[in-house]
Amino acid sequence: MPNKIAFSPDNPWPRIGWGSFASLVLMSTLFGFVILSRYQENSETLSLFDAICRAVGIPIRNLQAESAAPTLRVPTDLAWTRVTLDQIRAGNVQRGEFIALNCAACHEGSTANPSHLIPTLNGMEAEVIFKQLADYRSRKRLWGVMEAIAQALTIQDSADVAAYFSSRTGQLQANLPGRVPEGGRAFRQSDPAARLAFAGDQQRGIPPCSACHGPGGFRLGAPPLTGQYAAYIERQLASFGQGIRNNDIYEQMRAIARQLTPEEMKAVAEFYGSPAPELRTANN
Amino acid sequence: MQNSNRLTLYQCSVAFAVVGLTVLCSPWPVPISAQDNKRPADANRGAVIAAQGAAGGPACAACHAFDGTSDTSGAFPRIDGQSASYLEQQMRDFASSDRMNAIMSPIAKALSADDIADVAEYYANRNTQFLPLASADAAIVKKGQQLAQEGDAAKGILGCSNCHGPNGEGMPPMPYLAGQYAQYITFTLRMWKSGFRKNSPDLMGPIAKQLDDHESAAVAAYYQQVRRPAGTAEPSSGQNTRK
Amino acid sequence: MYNSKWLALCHYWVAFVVFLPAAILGAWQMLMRSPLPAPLDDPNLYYTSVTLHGTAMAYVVTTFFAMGFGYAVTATSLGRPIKGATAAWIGFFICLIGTLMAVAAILSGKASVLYTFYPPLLGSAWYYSGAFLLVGGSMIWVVLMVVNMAAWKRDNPDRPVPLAMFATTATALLWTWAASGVELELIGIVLPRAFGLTVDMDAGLARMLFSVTLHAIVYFWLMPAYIAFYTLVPQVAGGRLYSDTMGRVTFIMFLLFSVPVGIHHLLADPEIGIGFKYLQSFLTFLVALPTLLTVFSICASLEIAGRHRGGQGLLGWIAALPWREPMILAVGLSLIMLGLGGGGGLINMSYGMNSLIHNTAWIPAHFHLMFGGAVVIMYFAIAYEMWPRITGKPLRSKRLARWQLWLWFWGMLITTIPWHITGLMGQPRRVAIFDFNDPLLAPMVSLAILSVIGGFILLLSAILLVTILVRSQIGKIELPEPLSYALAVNPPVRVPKSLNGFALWNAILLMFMIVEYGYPIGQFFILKSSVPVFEMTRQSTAAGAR
Repeated sequence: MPNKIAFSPDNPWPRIGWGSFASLVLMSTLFGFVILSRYQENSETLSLFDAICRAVGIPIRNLQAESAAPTLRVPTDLAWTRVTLDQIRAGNVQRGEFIALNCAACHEGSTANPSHLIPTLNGMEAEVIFKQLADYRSRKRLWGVMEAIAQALTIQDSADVAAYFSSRTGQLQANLPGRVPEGGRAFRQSDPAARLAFAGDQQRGIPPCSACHGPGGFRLGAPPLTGQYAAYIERQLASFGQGIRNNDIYEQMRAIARQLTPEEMKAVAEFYGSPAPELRTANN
Repeated sequence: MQNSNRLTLYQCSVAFAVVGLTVLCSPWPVPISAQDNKRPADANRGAVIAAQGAAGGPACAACHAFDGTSDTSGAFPRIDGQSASYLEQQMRDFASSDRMNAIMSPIAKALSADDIADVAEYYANRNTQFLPLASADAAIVKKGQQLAQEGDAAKGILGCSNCHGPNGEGMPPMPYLAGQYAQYITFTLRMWKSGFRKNSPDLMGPIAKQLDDHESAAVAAYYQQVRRPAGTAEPSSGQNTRK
Repeated sequence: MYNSKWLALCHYWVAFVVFLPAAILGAWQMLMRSPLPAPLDDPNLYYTSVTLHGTAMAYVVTTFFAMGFGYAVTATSLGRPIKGATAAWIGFFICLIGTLMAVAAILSGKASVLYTFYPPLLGSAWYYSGAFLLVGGSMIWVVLMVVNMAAWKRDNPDRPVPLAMFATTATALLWTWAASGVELELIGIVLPRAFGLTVDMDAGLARMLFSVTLHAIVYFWLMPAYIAFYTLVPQVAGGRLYSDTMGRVTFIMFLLFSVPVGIHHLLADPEIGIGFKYLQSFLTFLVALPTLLTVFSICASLEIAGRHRGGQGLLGWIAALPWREPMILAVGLSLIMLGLGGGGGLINMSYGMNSLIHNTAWIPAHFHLMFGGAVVIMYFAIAYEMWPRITGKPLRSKRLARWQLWLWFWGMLITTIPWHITGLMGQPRRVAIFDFNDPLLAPMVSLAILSVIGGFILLLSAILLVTILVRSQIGKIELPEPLSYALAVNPPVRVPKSLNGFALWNAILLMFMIVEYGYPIGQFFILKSSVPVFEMTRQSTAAGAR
């Protein structure tokens, strides 16, 4: 291109342009990747290679922690990656039906579940069932017989069972994004259960339940609650609140449940758990 | 003309008989099945397996409880005091898919024959008390009792006690039914009916297919509240069963 | 105007016809967020409205306006008909169809993903396709600008390209570079997922690509206003442009420094190394330079005009300027808002101070003041200059036009200054409803109400604008004087090749992009950052459909 190689006195601009480019890149790279990255107030001085790695965003191998790190407990072994989603999608409903013969006694039978502490699964989302089985299998969630059952099932079995239950219809209402029924009136609810469900509580940092659990909201891995047994919901909230149940990613449920009073847990559970939930309209 | 050096027919026959009988009566090392000469089952080892599981699988006690009573949901059968041979046979059938169950099959496949024998021995020796469970309507129980003891002539079904014992205490190789959870009995009858359980096709299959839902429920309700007389735990010696 | 008359007019009309409903939505949004009762009180509607308001103002109004202005400038500054007018019309219709698709999708409620798309939110494929057509169709305009400038240079060898055309072509090239980010994001990531061809999307890569667009687009919006500063304002003021060369250099600097700096919109994102954030922040400080040069040039040009008109003393020239002209009034008001908003911009680009205002209401306050204020007020002024030239009907009342500009100015200040303050108090952005009974939020009540008042003043101003333009469309015909551009104090006889074309600058920009964005984009082909999407159009699993 004539402009680039026309380094003539007539046209000083290529020199100016490329010179500025070079000096800017040089200066900024020097500062950003070498000087500032090496010398930081809150960490030790790094070697040049480590400094460049840190600036680029590659983890440094040998950096010592300043203080002892707290013991890490991973809440679940499952992550919502493409692999996981593919596994879930590969579930076969017919095979799942056969496997689920074993599940009905507790999850559907009323004789085995008179206190309703065992959740109903018909219409439950496949991802939820898959994750909970994975957590039972890896003992991140504990409940009596469920760990043994989950251990006996393979990943494909879990996907099949999940597909089967999600294809059934029952008292659970599906979680679909749409209008939050209370709309803008949620903050002015006097009913504490409806207020928590649709508006949450800002001061305690509690988001509305419906944002993830419906109605009107949706989040991958959050079970739909409308129509679930109230006793089960209440028990799980209590478990989360005390940290007994701790397979929630990022402690999301624990952080919320920790702040709920037992009365609120009961109220929210009953709000969601009525067989034909009447989404209470605004009191105004 | 007979030569005195040659043996007569009579002499040959006698010699042959003597040699043959001697041979036949000797203790030949006959190839025996594992059943007849197996190592004695170790109930203590069985207890450990029941509590902790083996071969990476879940522990039996997780679902069936350490004392064999399971949880009372009826999702899992009561196995305390069940005959060891019956328990072993069921585990073999789970492993070979003659009895198809999505949870028990993988567990059974993972266990070795010794593991199975030990655990069966352990649970066979347990004899846990019966806890009072809610019983069904008296009329249903009565109907169940009638079916159990007399059967149903119209459908050509023998009474259950003919095979499972007068009080449902079991007659090996048939398991006891007394005190077994109603939900589980109903479930098993359904498994026979649908063909998922195939390890007694000529006996239980046709019977189960004849029973309708009410009859299954009645029989199950009856047996749940029958109490097994004390001391009728089965001995641990195993006889080879059919198969 | 040669053959650009109808082209420019149609583009302008689409821009301003979309502008008015979007302004109504904006006022409603302010009301919704405030303690005052609002009709249609529904957070879902709020996000639909934000998406529509954002898409309309940020993509539709601006792109159509820039295209129309570009065609008008091409014809008038080069003094000949536009080459490729048919292609221009095809481009117009593609953009129009894209706009209609996007608007329909948003109104159906299935595309409340905001104009930044926010992956892994996933809206309707119609929305993304519409946006793609709108942006893609404008590439035809880009090609035409470049082609026309090249053709003129061929026919006029060794003569300097008129500054207005040079700047317009710089704008077009800037838009190409800027739009490449969003187009790659759409083609490569979002559209395949929207059409179900892939299972998930790489949110990190999508955000990185969009950041290429996100900063550069605001300069694309800015350029028509600056073109007016350099080429129309001195003329209207009755003076000359201080320096033609400074003008060219300014536009070149915009081209160079507004594109490879997008990561300063991602300063809070974890997927980029700190070194690259530093690199791009360093470069971002340089983009303040052309604005400072512009302010200097314009003030200098206005001083020349003022003194020419008889102004005496240190500041007496200011009073001597023809403030009755909408263009001059607009410049004054624009420069005030530019100063305020620009200061806010310096805060946003500084990593430490950015952490203070990240995701707070400070951000929309800032860009409304900068773009909605400083830039759009110049769009109005340009419209007031252009309409008479195109339709042959002069403005019926310059007084009404000045009223409209003053209302816009005061409305914008009353809206955005309290908004900035609530942002500093921690009020989050993109939130539909606040519980003002909460003691933490109670101090914001009066500020929020002030912003609502400002919002309705702005709405009034928008209605006035459209009224003025409509009246100008249907008035009686008097032939106005043709559009002429400001002469420089020293009109260039010859300019160096590099200030007459863009080959050098494109090459330097390419190298900048490789250095600044090469690894940040490339790393995503090694990192695994695909995530499942959050679908706005989700079907029930229970029905078996997925």
